[in-house]
Amino acid sequence: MLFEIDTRSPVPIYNQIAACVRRAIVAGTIQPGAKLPPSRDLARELDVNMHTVQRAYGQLRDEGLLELRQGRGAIVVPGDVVPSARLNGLVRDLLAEAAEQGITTGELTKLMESMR
Amino acid sequence: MNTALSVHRVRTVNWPLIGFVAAHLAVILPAVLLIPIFATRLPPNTGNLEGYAIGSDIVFVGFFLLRIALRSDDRAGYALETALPLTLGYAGTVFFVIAGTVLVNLDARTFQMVFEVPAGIAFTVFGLFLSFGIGRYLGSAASIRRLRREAASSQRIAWLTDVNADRSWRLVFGTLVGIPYAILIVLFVVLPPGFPAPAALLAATWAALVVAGQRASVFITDAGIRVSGRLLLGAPSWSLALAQVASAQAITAGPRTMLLSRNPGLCILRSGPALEVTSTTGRSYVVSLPEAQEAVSILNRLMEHRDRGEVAPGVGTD
Repeated sequence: MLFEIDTRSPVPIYNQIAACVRRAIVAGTIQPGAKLPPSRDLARELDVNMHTVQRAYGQLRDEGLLELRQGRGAIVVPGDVVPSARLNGLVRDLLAEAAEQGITTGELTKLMESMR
Repeated sequence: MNTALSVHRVRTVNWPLIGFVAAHLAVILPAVLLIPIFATRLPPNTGNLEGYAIGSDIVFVGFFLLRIALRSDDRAGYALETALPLTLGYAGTVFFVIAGTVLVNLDARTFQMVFEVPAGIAFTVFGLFLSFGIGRYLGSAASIRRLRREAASSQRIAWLTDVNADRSWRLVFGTLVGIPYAILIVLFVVLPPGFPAPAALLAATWAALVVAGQRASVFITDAGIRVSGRLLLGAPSWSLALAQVASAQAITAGPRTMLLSRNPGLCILRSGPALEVTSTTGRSYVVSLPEAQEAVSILNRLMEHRDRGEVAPGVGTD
């Protein structure tokens, strides 16, 4: 699985990592039941703190996308992704992208309303 | 010796060699020193334990120096991350064998090899795993630091996957390791006075290695590609900085390829798709990889950005 982060981005790194996983799940490039890389390995390769990766995985667990099992690592929730969790993920990605471009939540809301 | 080669060698600080010598001496010497320190408490028929220790060391150092003499321009083929696991793994094991032999013979009437006593066997096996574990951890850390240093960028990309051994690997590996193991086992059993415990230990180790199988992790990042074997023996680990990658392609390979190959960069655990990376010096590195096409795609895009001089590549797998 591919992870991309930018350390100069205003978006926190754990959000960027979570966004990578979310995108992969939504796009179907990572299948339900698949195991994600151990947080230690991923942190080492991305040269970030292991707790940053664990925080990202924790966030995805709270969204219902991952299962974190002691000794077995992070596993994508088997079965179809819960619609609300999927929408939740997409919105988070949108907010992260907007923040990266300097667009406030208010401006984003107006933009969305103008598209309805 | 006024050749370009000798001038180059004089000007180059050989960190792997310095690291090897320093680590080796630091680990081996304390164990060798235990022998004269406890000489009065050891049985009179201890034999030439120092001689065995120093003799095996000379063989290993000679092997390592030969490796240096045959070094190529590929830093992955000969680098600190290669030297550290080898050095600490081997030297650490020797340390525990010598120290264990001294410990089991303290105040004993007759001399016993460390492998003849269950506690000695446990001590040595513990030492083997500890030494190789520390060596591999430090080696891996050194490898990552080197690759990261070469790719100073705010944008970081990592593609990670694991690959497990299949039946074809077990067959080849079991045979390759089984033959020398079988010879050793026969020697242990036949030679007087007979060493049944070491023979049983070897047989159990062989079976455990084959059953457990090798596992390798493949890491492709904006800094380079790294293949890390997860078993102590079996398949080599290798790494290549992105700057050293000339091309990447998906091929089909099987463990039998390893049988007669002298290429140290073959990590073939399955019969089927594999990723072949060719370095700028023409050396080939291979790793079994079911997702070889995806890996090639990522490497090609990373290389495109590298060649354009961009330090922040945007990579996708589409």
